[in-house]
Amino acid sequence: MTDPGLEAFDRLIHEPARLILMANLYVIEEADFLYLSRQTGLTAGNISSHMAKLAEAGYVEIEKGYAGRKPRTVYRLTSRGRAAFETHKERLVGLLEP
Amino acid sequence: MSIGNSLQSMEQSAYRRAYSDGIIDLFVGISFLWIGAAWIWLPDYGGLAGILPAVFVTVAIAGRKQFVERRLGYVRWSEPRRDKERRNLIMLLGGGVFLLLMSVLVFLVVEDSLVDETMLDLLAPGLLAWLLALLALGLALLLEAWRFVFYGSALAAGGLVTALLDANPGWPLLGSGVLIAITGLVMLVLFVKSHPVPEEA
Repeated sequence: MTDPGLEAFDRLIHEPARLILMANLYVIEEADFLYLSRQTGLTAGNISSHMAKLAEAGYVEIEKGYAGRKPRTVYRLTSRGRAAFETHKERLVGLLEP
Repeated sequence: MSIGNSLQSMEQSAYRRAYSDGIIDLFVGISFLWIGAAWIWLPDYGGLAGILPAVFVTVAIAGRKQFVERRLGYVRWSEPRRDKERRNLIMLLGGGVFLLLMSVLVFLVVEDSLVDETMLDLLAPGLLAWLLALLALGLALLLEAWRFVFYGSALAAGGLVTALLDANPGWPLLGSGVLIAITGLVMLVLFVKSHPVPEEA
């Protein structure tokens, strides 16, 4: 088994709620808050706070707009976020899939 | 299961969930029911009965998108998924045009007996059901909704019985239409119950 070392893991991504949010965004192009909430079971407050942290790190882009007359917040991974997730995934594969 | 497979499976289950509302089933079921009924009770217009569902399909698609998004949220699928959707949609539309032409041909064969004492004449009562079974299989591929394989099988079996009994080609459509529409209605009720519109949406 390859031991990537604890320091090799991106702790920002590794937190379970952020990992599941990143994974969900990784397999699509973009989604709104409701979609992510349905997919992950996370509450509004959870999604907002985790997304704010991911956005601060430059991993997620947040776009506030409107769908018709209703406000809609759309999230998408940035290229940096996508690359960080791929690296994290490879490290997990190295750890879990010898 | 590897991590790569888990991510793929996550995307596939999200995609299938986006089509779990039953509206397409309901639309397809009512369309088949209508075409079957028209074929049986309005024989002079049987071949043209497919035009009405074709007109309403665009309205149904637009209305469904809004209905589902209010309950499941907005998602833009990945580029490979959208490419796959486009390819399958082109195949399905091509198949639809082919079916329309074949339906008119079958109508002419059955109603006007243009071809006599041939294999086609023997099989003609089941042809319409078999052609629509192909359409159901196309939808199964497009939506990754494997229940459409079951619908297609029901249509194909109905077509075989119709051909053997030399019955009206509308009966297998009417029967499968009822089955598909009821399935769609049950799915729709379950979907609405399990995915209420959030208060803030």
